Amino acid sequence: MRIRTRAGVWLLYALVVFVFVYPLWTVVATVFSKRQAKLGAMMNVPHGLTGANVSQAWHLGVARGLLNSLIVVAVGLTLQLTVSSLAAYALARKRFKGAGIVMLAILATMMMPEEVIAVPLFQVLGKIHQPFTGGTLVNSYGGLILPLVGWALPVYVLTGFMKRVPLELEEAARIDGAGDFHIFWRIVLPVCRPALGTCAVFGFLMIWDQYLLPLLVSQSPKMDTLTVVVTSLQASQEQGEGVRLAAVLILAVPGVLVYLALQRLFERGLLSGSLKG
Amino acid sequence: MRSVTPRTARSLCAAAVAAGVAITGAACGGSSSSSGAATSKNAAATGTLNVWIRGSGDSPKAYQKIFDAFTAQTGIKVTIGKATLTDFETALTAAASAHQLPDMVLDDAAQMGNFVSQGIVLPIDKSKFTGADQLTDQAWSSATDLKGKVDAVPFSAQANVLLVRKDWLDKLGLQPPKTWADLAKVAQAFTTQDPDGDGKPDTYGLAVPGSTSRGYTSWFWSTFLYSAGGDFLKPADGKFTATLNSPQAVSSAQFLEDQVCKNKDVQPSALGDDTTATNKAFQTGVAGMYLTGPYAYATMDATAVKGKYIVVAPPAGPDGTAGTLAEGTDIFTMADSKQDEVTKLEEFMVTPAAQKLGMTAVPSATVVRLPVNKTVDPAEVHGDDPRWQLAQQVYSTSGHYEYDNAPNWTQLRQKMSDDLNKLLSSCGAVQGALSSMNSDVSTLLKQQGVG
Amino acid sequence: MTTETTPTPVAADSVLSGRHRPGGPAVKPFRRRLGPWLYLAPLLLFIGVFKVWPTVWGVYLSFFHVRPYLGNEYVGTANYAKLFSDPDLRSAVVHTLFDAVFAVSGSIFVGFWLAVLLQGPARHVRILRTAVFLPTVIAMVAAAELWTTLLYPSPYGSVNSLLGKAGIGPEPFFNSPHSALASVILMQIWKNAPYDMVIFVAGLASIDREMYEACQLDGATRWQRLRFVTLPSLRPITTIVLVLGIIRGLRVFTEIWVSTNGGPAGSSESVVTFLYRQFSQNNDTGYAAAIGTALLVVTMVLTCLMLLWRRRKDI
Repeated sequence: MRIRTRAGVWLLYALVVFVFVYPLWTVVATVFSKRQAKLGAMMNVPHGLTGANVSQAWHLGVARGLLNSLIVVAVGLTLQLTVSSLAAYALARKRFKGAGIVMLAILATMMMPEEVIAVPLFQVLGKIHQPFTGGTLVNSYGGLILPLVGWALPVYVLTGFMKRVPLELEEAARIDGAGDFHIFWRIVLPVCRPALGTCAVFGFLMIWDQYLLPLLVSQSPKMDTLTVVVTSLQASQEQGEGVRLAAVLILAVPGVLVYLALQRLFERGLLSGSLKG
Repeated sequence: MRSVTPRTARSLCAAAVAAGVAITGAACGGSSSSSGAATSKNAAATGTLNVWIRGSGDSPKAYQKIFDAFTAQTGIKVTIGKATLTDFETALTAAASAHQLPDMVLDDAAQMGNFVSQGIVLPIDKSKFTGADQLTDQAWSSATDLKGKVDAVPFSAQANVLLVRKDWLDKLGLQPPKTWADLAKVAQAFTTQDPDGDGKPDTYGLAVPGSTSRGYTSWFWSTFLYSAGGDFLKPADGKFTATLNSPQAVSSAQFLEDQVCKNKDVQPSALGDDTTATNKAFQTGVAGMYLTGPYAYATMDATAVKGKYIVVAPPAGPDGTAGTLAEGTDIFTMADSKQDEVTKLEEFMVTPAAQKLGMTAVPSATVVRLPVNKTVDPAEVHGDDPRWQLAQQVYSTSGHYEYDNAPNWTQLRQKMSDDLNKLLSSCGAVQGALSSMNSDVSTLLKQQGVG
Repeated sequence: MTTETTPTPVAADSVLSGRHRPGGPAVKPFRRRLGPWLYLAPLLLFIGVFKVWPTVWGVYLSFFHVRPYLGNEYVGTANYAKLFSDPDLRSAVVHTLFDAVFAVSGSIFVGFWLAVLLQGPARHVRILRTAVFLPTVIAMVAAAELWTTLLYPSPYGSVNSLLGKAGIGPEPFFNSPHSALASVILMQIWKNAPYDMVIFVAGLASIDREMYEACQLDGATRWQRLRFVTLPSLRPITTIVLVLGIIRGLRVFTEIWVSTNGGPAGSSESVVTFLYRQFSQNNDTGYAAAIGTALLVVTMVLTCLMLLWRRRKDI
C-alpha cells in the first residue's frame, strides 16, 4: 500500500514526528534548562543549559531507585521468560486434558484490578519466609520480583509461536533419542528467539512500570524502586520542575534502550503470527 | 485459542466458582486479623526506632539530622522506614493490616482523626510529657479531640499568608490588598492592565489550586471562609454539625466564584491545578498573588521570582475579620510501638534545639515551618527575616485549624472539594450548591458516627 | 506425541492433529501424563500464590467492613447493595465504558494507519517507528503533565493557539466537565497508538504478498484491496488487540488519576479511580473490594462472551 506522492509521504512523516516526538523533546529541553517555561507553555529550547537538574535528581534517591529497578527487572524478566516458556511448551506441544481451562484461568488472573489485590498480596508476602535475609518477602528483592513472574501475556505469545514450530524438528530429535527437556531447551526454545524478544520487551515495560507493589513492599528508602521515587518526587513542592522531570527522564531511558536493542527480534516475534492465537 | 470449546469455557466458569468457594473457606481461617499477634518486628535491632515520614526529596534528610542529634544524646538509634509523598496512607494501611506498623509516624495534622478511628495511634499523656508547657496552647488544642484526649504531639505549624508581586504592584501603582474588595481590585488590575509589560494578555490576578486532588479546592477556600467569620463544622457534645449553608459560607464561596467566573482573574487552569502547578503559575509570572504557607518562601526563592514578591497577611473579610487556614505536622505514636523510646524522641523533637534544626538544617526543606515551642522565635532563627515574623504573627492572631479530630476529616474535605469544584466549574447558584454541600457533609458525619 | 484419542475436537491448525499412533495404548502412562503439568507447575505456582490467592482474599474482603487494625466486621452483602445504589459509581461506570470504547478504538485506528504509513523494512521507516514508539515508554505522570500543558485552557496554550488560527475559540480541555474525559481519551490514544502500531506492523508484514499480486491482476483499487484482503487478514490480530485493550480500558486508572483526578466535578471518574478513592480516602476497603470483585466478574463474562463469539465466527 503506497501513498502516491513522495512529498505527501514526507509531510505525513513530519506530522507524525511532530505529534509523537516533539512533546517528549520538550521534556528533555526542560530537564536541561536553567529556567522554567511559563505555566501552560511548552519549552522548545532550553533557557540556559545546565546539568544541575539531573545531578540533583540523581542524589534525591534516583540513583538507588535505578539500581533497584534494574535488579528487579533483570532477575524478574529472566524468571518470567523461563517460567512462561516452560508453560508454553506444555500448552503448545502437549495434548492433555485441562489445557483449555488452564489457558482461560491464566487469562482470568489478569482481570482483577491490582489496586484491590495490593493489600492482600502484601499480607501474603508477609507470610512467606525466605532464607536470604531471614525475614519474610516484605522489604526484600524477592517480594519485589516474585509476584511479577507469573504473567499471562508472554505465555500466550510463546504458546502461539511454539505451536508453529515444525514438528519435524522435534521428530528428528526424538529419533536421535533426545528427551523431552532436551528438545525443549535445545530445539524449540532457540527457534523461539523472536518471540522471546517480543516477550522481553513487553515484560520489561510491565516490570519497569510497577508502582503499587514496590510502594507497599519496600519498608526502607534503600529498597524503593525508581517508579516509587519518581512518583513521590512529582508531588514535591520543594523541587523545581527541572528536577522532577529529570527523574522522569531517567525513568524513561532504559525502556527506550531495551526497545532499541530488541526491536528486530520484537517485530519478528510478532510477525510469525504468534498473536493469531 | 482454537483449542477452547464452548463447553470448556462454560466448565471453566463453573470450576472457577467452585475453586473460589473452596479457597475462600480455607482463607477464612487464615485471614482474620488478631490484634497483638505480631508486635512490631520492624526494628532492626532492639532499641532502634522505626519512623515513617510523609515527605520526599530533601525532607527525610532534614529529619535524619534531627534523629542523629537524638541518637547522639540518648544512644537510641532511629531509622527512617518509609518516606514518600504519594500514597503514604495506603502504605500505612497495608502495614496496619499486617500488624507491622512503624513505631512513629510524621504526617499532616489533618490525618489525626483518621488514625484515631482506625485505632492505630496511642494517646499522649500530657502530664507526663517533659516540656509540654513549652508548647503553645494553640498547638496542643489542634491535637486534642472532642473529649479532651490528646492524640498526637504537634511538631510544626504554619498558616497561610499572601504572596504578592511587588514589581507588578509598583508598575500599576497599587497597594497590597488588605480586604477582599482590595484583593478583587488588584486581581482584576493584574489581569487586565498587563503588569509584566510584554503586551500580551497573559497575566492573571490570583493563583488558585482548585483541583479536587487531595481536597485542594476546599483547602484553598478555607481562608476565605474563616475570614468571613464562618466555619465548616460546629462541635458540640461530642458531635459535629455542618455549617456550610451559613451566610458567611455563602459570601465567601460567592467571592471565590466571582473571581473565577465573573472577573476571570485566576489562572485559566485553576480548577485542575494542584499546588505544584499553582506554584509554577506564581513562579513563572502567570499569576501575581498566591495564598500559601511559609514553606513556599524557599521554593519561590529558588526561581526567577525571588526578590520580586512581598508577603502580607491574608485580606480581611467583609466585616473586618482576619482568619486564615492554620495547619501542622504532627508526631503520631503508633500502636504496638516501643512507647518509652518513642516518647523520648517526641520530647526531643519539640525542644528548641530540635525545632531549630528542623527550621534550618536543610534550607530547601524546612520541616519545621513555625515552631510549636513558644520559646523559639522563627524570625530570629531565619536571620531576622520579616516574612517569617509575619507568618508567626498571622498564625498566632488569626490561625484557624481544620477539624483534625473528626473521625475522617480528609473524607469531608474531599467531599467539599468535589462539590465546590463542581460549583466553580459550572458557575452556578452558590446558595443552592452550598445547601447541598451541607447535606452531603451531614450525611458523611452521620456515617462517621459524629453527626 | 500423543497416543490417545481425545473426545474434544482437535484444532484445525494444531500441528498435532491426526497424530495418533494407530493401535497404541489407550491410556498414557502416568509419567507421560504428568509431563505437561511439570512444565506448567512453576507458572501455576507463581500465579496461584501471588495472583489467585490475593484475588480470592480480595473477594472475601468484600463481605466485610474492613478495619485493618481493629479486625474486620462481617456485613454480608451490604457492600454489594451499596454498589448498586451508588449514583457516583454509576456515572463512573458510564465514563469507564466511554473511555474503554473510544480510547481503545481510537488507538487501534490511529495505530493501524501509523502502521500503514510506517510499515516495511526500510531504514528510515524503522527509525521513525522507534521514534514514534517513545510515548509508550514515558511514565504516565509525565505524559499527563505534558498533555495538561499542551491542552492549556488559555488562548496562548499550544493547541489553543493553533485552534485560534483556525478561528476556533480557546477550548477548556481538562478544565471543563464537558471536555475533561475527551481530553483524557485523547491523551490515552497518543500514548497507546504506537503500541498498537507495532503490533499492526508485524501483522501487515505477515500478509501473503501473493494475495496483493492477485488483487493487482484483478484490477482492484487500493481501497478494495484494503477492504477485501488487508483488513480480513488482520482480523485475528485486531481481535486480540481489541480484547486486551478493552480489558485494560475497563481498568483505566493511572491515566485519569494523575491528569484530572476524576474531575472536574467527577466528570472523568472511572470505576477504578472511584474504587481507589474508597480505599485510600474513605477508608472503605470492603466497598472497594466489592467493586473490584464486580469488575472482575464483568470482565470475565465479557471475555467469555468475546471468545465464544469468536469461536462461532471461526467455525
